[in-house]
Amino acid sequence: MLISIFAQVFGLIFLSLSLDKHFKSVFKTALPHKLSLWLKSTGWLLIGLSLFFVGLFALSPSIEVVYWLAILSGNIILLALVYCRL
Amino acid sequence: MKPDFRKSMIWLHTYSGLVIGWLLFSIFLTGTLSYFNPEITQWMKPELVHVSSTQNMINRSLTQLHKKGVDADTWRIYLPDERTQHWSIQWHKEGKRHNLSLGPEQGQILSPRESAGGNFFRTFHYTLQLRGYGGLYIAGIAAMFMLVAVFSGIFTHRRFFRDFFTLRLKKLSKTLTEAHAIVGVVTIPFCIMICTSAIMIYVIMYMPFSAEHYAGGQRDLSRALSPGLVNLDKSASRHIPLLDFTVVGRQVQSQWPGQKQIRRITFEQPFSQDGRIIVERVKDLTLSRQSKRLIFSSHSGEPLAGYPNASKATQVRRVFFGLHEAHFADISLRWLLFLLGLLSSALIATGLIIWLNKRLEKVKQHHIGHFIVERLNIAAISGLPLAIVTFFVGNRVLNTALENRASIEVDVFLWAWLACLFHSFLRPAKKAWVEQLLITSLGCYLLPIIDLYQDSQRLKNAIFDGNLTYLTFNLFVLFTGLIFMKTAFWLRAKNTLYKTVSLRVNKLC
Amino acid sequence: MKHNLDVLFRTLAAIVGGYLVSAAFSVAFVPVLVLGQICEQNEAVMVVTMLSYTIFFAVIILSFCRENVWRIWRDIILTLCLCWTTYYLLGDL
Repeated sequence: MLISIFAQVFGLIFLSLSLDKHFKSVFKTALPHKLSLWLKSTGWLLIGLSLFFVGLFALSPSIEVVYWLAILSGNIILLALVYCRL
Repeated sequence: MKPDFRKSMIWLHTYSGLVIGWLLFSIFLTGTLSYFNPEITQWMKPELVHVSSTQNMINRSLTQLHKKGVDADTWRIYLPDERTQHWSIQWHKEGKRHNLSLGPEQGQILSPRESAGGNFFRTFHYTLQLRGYGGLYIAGIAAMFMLVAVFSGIFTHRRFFRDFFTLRLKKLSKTLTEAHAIVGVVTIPFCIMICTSAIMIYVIMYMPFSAEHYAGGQRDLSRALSPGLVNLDKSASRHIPLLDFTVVGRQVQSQWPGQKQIRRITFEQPFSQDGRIIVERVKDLTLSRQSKRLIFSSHSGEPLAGYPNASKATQVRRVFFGLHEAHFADISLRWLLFLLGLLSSALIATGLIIWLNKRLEKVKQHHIGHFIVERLNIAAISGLPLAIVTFFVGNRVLNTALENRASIEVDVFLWAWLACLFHSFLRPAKKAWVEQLLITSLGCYLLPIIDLYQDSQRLKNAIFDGNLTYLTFNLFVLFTGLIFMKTAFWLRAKNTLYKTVSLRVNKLC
Repeated sequence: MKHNLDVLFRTLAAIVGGYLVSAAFSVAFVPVLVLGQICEQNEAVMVVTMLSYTIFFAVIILSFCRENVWRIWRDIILTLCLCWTTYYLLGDL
């Protein structure tokens, strides 16, 4: 479950960084197109992995999926707050 | 309507939100509090003690039931868990129901004060105190409106994922709009899940035509889809039920591995030859509303045929119901869901305030409609928390020996809310906000103080026993009081600034 | 005034029309599921009733985004006729 959460957090971070606006607010330089594609694909891969880990190792996959979705909301809130402050 | 899909959705979002906003805010706020239903009940009944680690509870309950519930039609044993800390037995005899709350010491019987507890919020959020008067239907309609508002809200904001995470704090109207947007995005899955599952709970009641036509009504349909146990033979001979639960307990333990797996034990017709024991499992392990049950004979303890499997569709409905109640959630998920619920309530509140501010900016002549919306905003958004805090204060202040104490506590809540409505209509709007928020925060600060005044041992016991429920409740209440106070001061500062500026402008002109 | 009438008829279409269509759907499609051997009757009642809420939701959204109010009402009445025909042909098993 913990691996799943980490994968989800980093997946979201990568996905958000693949956007010009957020990349600029963190790194202060323009976002090269290739890097953007790389970040997007890695981001989605991590999200997929995180779901995979939930399904594979969970004792009760249905409950774990609910947890995953709830933690997703939590992650989005945290990420939004971080970007607002930057 | 506008030819543009997005413009139609904006219109729909504005008006569906406006029409149902105040009701929806009340439902969401009381519903969010229901996530901590047993914990709030624990706080509201300080006479309850820690019972969940008592040994041998089932046999001790049986001893009491053998003493008090002779020849009863039904016996029930409710085992406590970490959250409820309420161990009680119940028996039905000649149409009357008797309850006893048991304590950890041998033969100890507790008498917690009569109170609706946290369950008031749960029943309020789906019945609106109008159970026989269509409250259930109104809540269902509100859920449908919310789904429409969420869906149309998705299309209202342009450039869906790109521009979202900005929050400009300088100008209030921009802050509110952007907070509304962020909170909206984050709570989309939560709101859709809650509203859909809410409708699915009463799915047949809201649309009974099919059930009535094909199955003869809602009850007959449920009986057909989730059949109960066979009816008991009324004429069976008398037989005393078992005194020692160990024989059953061992069988239960082998089928349900783990500690404390039993939530409730029901004896149906315990004094009959045919009587049976229904052992119900805890609900932590399933998304469904109905946990597993095992059936045994009430006098010999031998296993009987279990419940037949419910149909797939019923199981789906039970999962919807279970998702809505979230009884499977452990403490961290529960706090996260609570936070999401609070955010959804804030979503609705900010939506209502944004509507009003935008209209007041555009329109030169204020209209009676704006006046009503303005005052209802105050009565709902700051009035409901005030009423809730008054409910808690009433729980502490009202005499424990009062007759019908539970319904008097509810009356206190309703009268306080009505008073907020009058207050919001009688006072100038900006002042009304500040005053109601300040009174709410005052009430929040009062709660721990009243507790200390009434029984200073409570806090000491809570700290020494590690009663996290009591301590967290008090801390959260103080934190809420602080937030309301800061908001009230901030609003008041904004009002005086506005007044100073407009006075200066008038002087110049 | 015209705008207000427009809004009124759309709202009626959404709420009243929507409820009628989903109720009709919930009665008419039970025999479809039963005859299609997907599930037995009581289960079909539950399934179709649950699904009828999606129809209700769709009617609400469509009532507010289609261009012409009268076409909305025309389609609602047509759908009701379709449901009635389905029930008449297949129903009452």
